[in-house]
Amino acid sequence: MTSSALEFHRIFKKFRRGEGYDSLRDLLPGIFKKAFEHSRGVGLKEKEFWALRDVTFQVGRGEALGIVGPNGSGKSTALKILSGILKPTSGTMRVNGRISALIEVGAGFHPDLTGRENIYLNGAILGMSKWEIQQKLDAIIDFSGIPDFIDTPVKRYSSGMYARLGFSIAAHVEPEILLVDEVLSVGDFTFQGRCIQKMQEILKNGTTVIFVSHNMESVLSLCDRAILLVNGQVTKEGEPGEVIAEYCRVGGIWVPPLSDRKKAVIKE
Amino acid sequence: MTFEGVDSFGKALSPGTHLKCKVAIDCLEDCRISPGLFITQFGSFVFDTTYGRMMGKPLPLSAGENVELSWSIDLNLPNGSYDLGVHLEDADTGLYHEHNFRTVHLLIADDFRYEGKYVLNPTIELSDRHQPKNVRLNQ
Repeated sequence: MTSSALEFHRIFKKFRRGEGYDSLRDLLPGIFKKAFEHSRGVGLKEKEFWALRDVTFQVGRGEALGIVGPNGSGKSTALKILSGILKPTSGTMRVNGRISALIEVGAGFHPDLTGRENIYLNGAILGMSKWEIQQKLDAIIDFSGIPDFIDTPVKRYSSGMYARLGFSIAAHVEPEILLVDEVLSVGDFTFQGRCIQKMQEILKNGTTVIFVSHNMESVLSLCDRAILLVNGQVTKEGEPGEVIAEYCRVGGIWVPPLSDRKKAVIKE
Repeated sequence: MTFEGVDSFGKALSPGTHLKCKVAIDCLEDCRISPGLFITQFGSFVFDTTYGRMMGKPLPLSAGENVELSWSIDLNLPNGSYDLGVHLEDADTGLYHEHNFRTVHLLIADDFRYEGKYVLNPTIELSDRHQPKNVRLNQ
């Protein structure tokens, strides 16, 4: 499919519980044990578990895909694989376009640098050139709403100020593909409102968006399509309303019983 | 839907802001409905009312009829982020013809004068009713 912005084909990802060596006595046997194991196999060994199992989906250009599911279902792992933070155990992934990820707001900030310096640092990490950052600097500072503190080291920022600046930078990257993980739940209510508005603007500009959230209303209003992940597997794909209804059914959450035949409608 | 009393939903609203929500309804088939208005916060209901609950009877409509309902509420809510939604419930079956969790997003600002009580003073008004010719309402 040539119009795909993203393709996720038969992706498996496994993790290991309780990895880590506290002492040299534990480390040396661990190294020898690993040397005799097949580390890239698709089978599971002791303490291993599947975070993603045979996950396949495509996202078209300009499409907004919502990923919903309970905690630990693999949503964030999928986004981390898409953004290149993690490698899949097996399977293939294809990305056509510049990706910007809002996976952890403010990730990559240096605490001793000022807000302004961190805009350059974080902007570069997110793929912007120095010229591009200079062009957008005023807009980023303005959107963040903290112009008075922009020359203060970020270690003195509150968590809300940190989140505002992080979101503002990532939202101005103008990516072709935007990955968003629960960013709307971060910060105070004013910040949430600004995030929602900015997300809607980004969508109107034709950016492909992958949106992970527990806020069903946001998924419903922002996304064209959604997938439901349960225990690392896609259990439902389709219209956001249908997928959310299935998620609610699986999770025992109330959904409004809709009539099959509409007898009255609200005018738009 | 149209709104009166609020310039922009993108800005934080003061507690106590008077909001009028006008809902225009088209009737496709004869039915008895109970339109509703509700406010949720993070998916939990903080306010919910219906036409039937306030008027003591459902709203009978005939095919082709258009009505406009006006809900008026005072947004006496603690500061925070809320969603205002509407629905059209069939009074006979209990099923919904429409159910929209987020019609608009509400941001309520902090105000030291606000005592923290949820007081919305809802009122409802049926206005602008257009019946098709040769149809008589069974009221």
